[in-house]
Amino acid sequence: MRRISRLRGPSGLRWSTSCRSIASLSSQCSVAKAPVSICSTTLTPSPVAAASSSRMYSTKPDSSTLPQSLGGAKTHVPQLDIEAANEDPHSAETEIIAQESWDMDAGEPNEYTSQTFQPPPPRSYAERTDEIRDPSYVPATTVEGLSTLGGLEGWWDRRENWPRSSDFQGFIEAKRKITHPDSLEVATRRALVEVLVRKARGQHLTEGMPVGGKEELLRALALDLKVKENGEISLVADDSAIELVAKDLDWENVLAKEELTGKVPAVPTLLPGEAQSFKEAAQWRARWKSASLSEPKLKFAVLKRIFQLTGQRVQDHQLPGITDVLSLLRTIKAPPKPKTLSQEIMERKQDLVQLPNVAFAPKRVTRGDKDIALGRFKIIEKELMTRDVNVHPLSVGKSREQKWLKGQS
Amino acid sequence: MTIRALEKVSVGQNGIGAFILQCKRMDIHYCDHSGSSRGMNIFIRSMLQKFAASHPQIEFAVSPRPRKHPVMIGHYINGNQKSICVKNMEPTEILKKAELLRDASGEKIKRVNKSVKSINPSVRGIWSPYHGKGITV
Repeated sequence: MRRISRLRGPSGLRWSTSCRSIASLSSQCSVAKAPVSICSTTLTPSPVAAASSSRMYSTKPDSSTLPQSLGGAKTHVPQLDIEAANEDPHSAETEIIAQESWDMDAGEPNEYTSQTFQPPPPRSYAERTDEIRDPSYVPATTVEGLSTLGGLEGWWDRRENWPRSSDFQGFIEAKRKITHPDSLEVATRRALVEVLVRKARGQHLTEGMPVGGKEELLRALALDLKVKENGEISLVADDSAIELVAKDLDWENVLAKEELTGKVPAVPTLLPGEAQSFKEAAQWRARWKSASLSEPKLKFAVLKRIFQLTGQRVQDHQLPGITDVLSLLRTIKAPPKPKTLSQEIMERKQDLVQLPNVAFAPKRVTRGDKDIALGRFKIIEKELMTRDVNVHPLSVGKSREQKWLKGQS
Repeated sequence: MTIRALEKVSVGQNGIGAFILQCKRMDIHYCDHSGSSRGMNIFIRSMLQKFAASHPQIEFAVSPRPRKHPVMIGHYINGNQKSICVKNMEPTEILKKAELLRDASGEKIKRVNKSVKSINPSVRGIWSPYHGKGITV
């Protein structure tokens, strides 16, 4: 009966350190007298992956379109087999069986696709005393006088060991939720055009789309839309123009372009002033807002793209109410609900606020506030200052924990 | 010799000549999130404007009190204050409580034993043993 050994699978890191026997590791602690066996399969740390690879959070199903940096990790599993064969030739068969079972169970091993950190340099070992050929060598008997090499202390806290390319990059491109009506309208138009381009090309509608720069944005907005009486919408543009926009939405093209020209800062939508002037200049047909969004796939794709571009997420319960572009715009343009009653009163109930005998406090009124209102605090302050006591004993500075949470020391 | 009491010209009473509302200030506290403040929040939104506009002599101070039940506190010109917790009340009930605070005098609630209370002196005057012909001892 063949025994399937426990798999030393790719749960670790690509840059696995040298494979050694336990005896050798234990001997490290004491003075090196025992024989050390090193399998010399130390891998040099792979270079930091390209910045573009960190974007692979998209829903792109086809792995063939992924950049090269993702494909390189495929060689990792065979490497393990070689290591195992070197270590113990009898266990090679069991390892191969284990590999087969891994493939069957997991489908695809969970490989580290990109280097998200700079690993520490590989260990180096001093020569053993019995192998030193230098006749003048005298082994030290005390610690004094020996140079300290240092260890990995603080390695993972250093910023330079965490490349910027590995920083988290979210799906939403807009730094803050865009709320200006004109910018939202431009973003909606762009989203609709891009989804229609995908539809015209017979591509997957909800597949992740790159945001692109201003050039891409204007190229998408240049396409005209035509709405029929029944609300059906279609693109009115040359095939070449559609082709260009389709290229802008293709990750492969975008990544190749980035490699050549460098990364262009993403422009999710136009700024409010720009958007207004652009709208006036473009003279879009008024009917484009009556375009039907009754097709669920189309609606979902448009909403997803708007979410990516503007940060405006349409809630689930609002979805049935969105039947056309006009209702969509009305939904996303609606100002957010006030968070507190005082905010609501200040915004919407000016007749109540303006009454001379009514005072609204946005925050809780404390004893200190009452003292200040009465003028009592001036006396308290004066007395405290004469006694050299902290005037604001309850005022607390910024919490240190906030700094720690941000990773600042 | 008969003793005659001094005749009082008038007795000061609120409402005779001028009426001064005893309630001078009303603090209204609510919570933004607690369910017990639901009625109070509606009251502030929809009813307070009319109530406050009709009572310009009362100062209304509205402020949140997070994680606490809603409360109305009436301050009176005699220095007293009266507070009513209005948790879980409907807006109309809260309005009645506001009217109660408005109408209160600020005096402590006392037990009333007599069915009739008057500040007017008796038309017969205060009895004295020297009334009339006097009593011969």
